[in-house]
Amino acid sequence: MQKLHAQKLHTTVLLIPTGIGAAIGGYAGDALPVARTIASVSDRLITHPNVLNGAQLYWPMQNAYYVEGYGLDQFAAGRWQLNPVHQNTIGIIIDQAVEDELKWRHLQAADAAKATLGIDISAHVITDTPLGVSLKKAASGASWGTLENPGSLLRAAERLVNEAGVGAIAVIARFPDDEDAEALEAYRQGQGVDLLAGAEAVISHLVVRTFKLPCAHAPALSPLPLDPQVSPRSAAEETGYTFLACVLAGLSRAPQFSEQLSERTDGIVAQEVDTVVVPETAFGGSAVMSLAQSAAQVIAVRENTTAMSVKPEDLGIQAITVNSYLEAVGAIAAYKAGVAHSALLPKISSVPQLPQKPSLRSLEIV
Amino acid sequence: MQTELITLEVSMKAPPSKLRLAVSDSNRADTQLSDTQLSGEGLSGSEVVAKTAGELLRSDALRSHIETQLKIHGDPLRWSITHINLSSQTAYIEAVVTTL
Repeated sequence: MQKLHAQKLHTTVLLIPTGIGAAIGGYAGDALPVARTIASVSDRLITHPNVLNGAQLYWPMQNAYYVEGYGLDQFAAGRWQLNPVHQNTIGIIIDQAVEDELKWRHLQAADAAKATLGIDISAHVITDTPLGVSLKKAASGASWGTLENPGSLLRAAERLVNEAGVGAIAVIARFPDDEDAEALEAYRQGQGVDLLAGAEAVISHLVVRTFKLPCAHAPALSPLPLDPQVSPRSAAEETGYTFLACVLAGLSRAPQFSEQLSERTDGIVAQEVDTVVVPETAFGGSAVMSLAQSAAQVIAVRENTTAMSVKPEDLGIQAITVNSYLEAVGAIAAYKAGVAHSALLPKISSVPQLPQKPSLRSLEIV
Repeated sequence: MQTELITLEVSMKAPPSKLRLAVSDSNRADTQLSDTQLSGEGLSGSEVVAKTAGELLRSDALRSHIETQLKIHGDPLRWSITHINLSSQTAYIEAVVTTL
């Protein structure tokens, strides 16, 4: 009987930063097909809510790890370890600014996740003041956001942790409905930047930074009037009253964080990342700047254009630049199979010789 | 606590006077460059990431340097280099920080 070699698990980190107008992944969970495909050629896929969240739509994957962006940055920098779990008990924070009817829609979505998916949701809490979300678009074109009352968010999270013992937190904040009608129209057409995304990231980052547990955000918004021209990339957000289902599904098995590296044998540390996949112009983020120095493969995807303009070569990062995610998947599969990327190209150069150096003997002092 | 959107310009080069260092292993907990390290002191156990003054910082060292610069303005929550001026080797950063 043939004995199998003990093999190292292959780990890919897929990064598509939120709020930068990524052509693939800049809308309603529209990078999920990319994640599903990469997960099929990798033993472990680590990615973030922007990639996996499609409002009512999501896709459970046994080998995918749902890691919020702040936690992912800390993981990539080697400060935090990811500890896989079988399940998390989830608590929900609801912004006091959410109107009664919208609040009930969200609570019913949470009850549905309990009854239909079996997700463990133990409590919800209303913030003691409205969070005061405001949306901003910076000079780069990226969306950002701030909170008028971040302390209220953190007090609510503290209650869920201390009084309900939750291991993960979903936040529902009331977002402005009519901030920029033109940008919203473009977004529904699958163009431009997601104006909500930057503020969503700020909300979940605050909770993760303070409590070091998984967190993700679902914006509460009034339903939009029907538009038959909505792009398929944005259509997932037209299918229901809330964007909560994907968040609860993701958090239910999101890995926990710890600062004590290697305390568990099943914990994942940044050194174990083999491949990182990033849009070609989005290399200015914290996670990729860390991982680019330790991962064996750094893959830049050209056709996933963004509002950013930081390419790997601008930072001295040696990357394999490919046109599409289809090629990226091939590059990962080749690496995992032990095949040099260059061996798949039509022209293969001969093995070069390093320049001769003076021999040690000639340097000896006689 | 307040959240604030800021912009920042950071040189991507090693400082002119002394070597710039960063820890070699980006998976260590102490990857962040302290002010002391940035001034060229406390160098043991580290890897040179820019061998001579004026060379580009390695990306993980630049990340640490940016985080250190952001801390002057608050506690960094989310940031990104949005573009780079290649001729001056300057990185332009947008960030949200929290302040007390």
